[in-house]
Amino acid sequence: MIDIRAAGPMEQFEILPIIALDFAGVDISFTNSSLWMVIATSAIVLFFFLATRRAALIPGRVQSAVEVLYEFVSDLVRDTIGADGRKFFPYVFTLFIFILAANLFGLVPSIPGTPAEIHTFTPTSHLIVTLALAMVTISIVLIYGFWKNGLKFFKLFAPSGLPIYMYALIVPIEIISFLSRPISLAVRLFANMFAGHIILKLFAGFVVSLLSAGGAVMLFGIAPFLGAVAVTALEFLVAALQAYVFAVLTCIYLSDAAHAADH
Amino acid sequence: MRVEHEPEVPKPSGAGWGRAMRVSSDLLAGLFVGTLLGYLLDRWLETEPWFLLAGIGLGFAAGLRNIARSMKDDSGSSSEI
Repeated sequence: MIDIRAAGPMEQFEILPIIALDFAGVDISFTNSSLWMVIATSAIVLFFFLATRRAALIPGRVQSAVEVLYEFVSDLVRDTIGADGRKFFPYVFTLFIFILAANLFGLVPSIPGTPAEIHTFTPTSHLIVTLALAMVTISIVLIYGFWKNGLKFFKLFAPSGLPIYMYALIVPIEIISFLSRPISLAVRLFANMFAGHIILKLFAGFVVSLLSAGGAVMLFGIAPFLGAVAVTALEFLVAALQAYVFAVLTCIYLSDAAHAADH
Repeated sequence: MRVEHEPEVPKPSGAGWGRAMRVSSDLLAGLFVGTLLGYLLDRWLETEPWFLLAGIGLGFAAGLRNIARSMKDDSGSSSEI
């Protein structure tokens, strides 16, 4: 029988502690969010281990997949940052693959009958997670920018070749624009995953409600069902696209930091 | 005889959705940061509401700057305008 107690669309975002931990008054419990981050990370490690275990000159299927991913991010880093961007490849690749895995694991259906603590959870659907990732990016930009350019890093906020009086307006705008980058980066990924999962859950909820109504009304359930299928397909696309966008923007910001003095 | 026209409207795609999300989050983030900075400066210097008003204007400008930058990035040229 179908369980008609269709859960609300927000329930999937609830943080549930699995192992309660406390560190000097700060709640550092191992939660379902942590669990799915660990699952995503383990899957990445396993995937790369399997792919590179027997590295062959003529790659097998798994090895090809990993090589395509590597080439993809490698080209992205080279094209965006330039020749001196090589040292950022590990960071950008880690970021890309982690967000991609976290997004995709969020699309795996939960196993029915299991406790809510281990139901599928998308860590990237929480603003705090995406904001933390964006903050790491912007910290690297700041540290590397000042290390590479010294005080010339501030040239990023004052493009040369303007009339003097324009700087009074341009400098605050550029500073606000710079400060809004991590927020824009974080909100974009979070909003995409959050909105997508709500839509998915709503469609699925309609199917359950209509089916439980019984009789001819059940036939109407086909419409939201098809909607849910379409949204699932779209979500796979969005999951990959948002991981890509995050990586691209990280590269652009790093590129700005690397070339701030040239402006 | 009716002439079949290819519709000029671009097909809805994942890339279009991505771009829409990017533009909206760019604008909102600029506005948010500008307003927040203005508000905090006002609270600090007790000059309500001048920095807040300036912050909203500058934040909006910064949001548009963000959009101009990301559109420029999309068209494949350098990130610097």
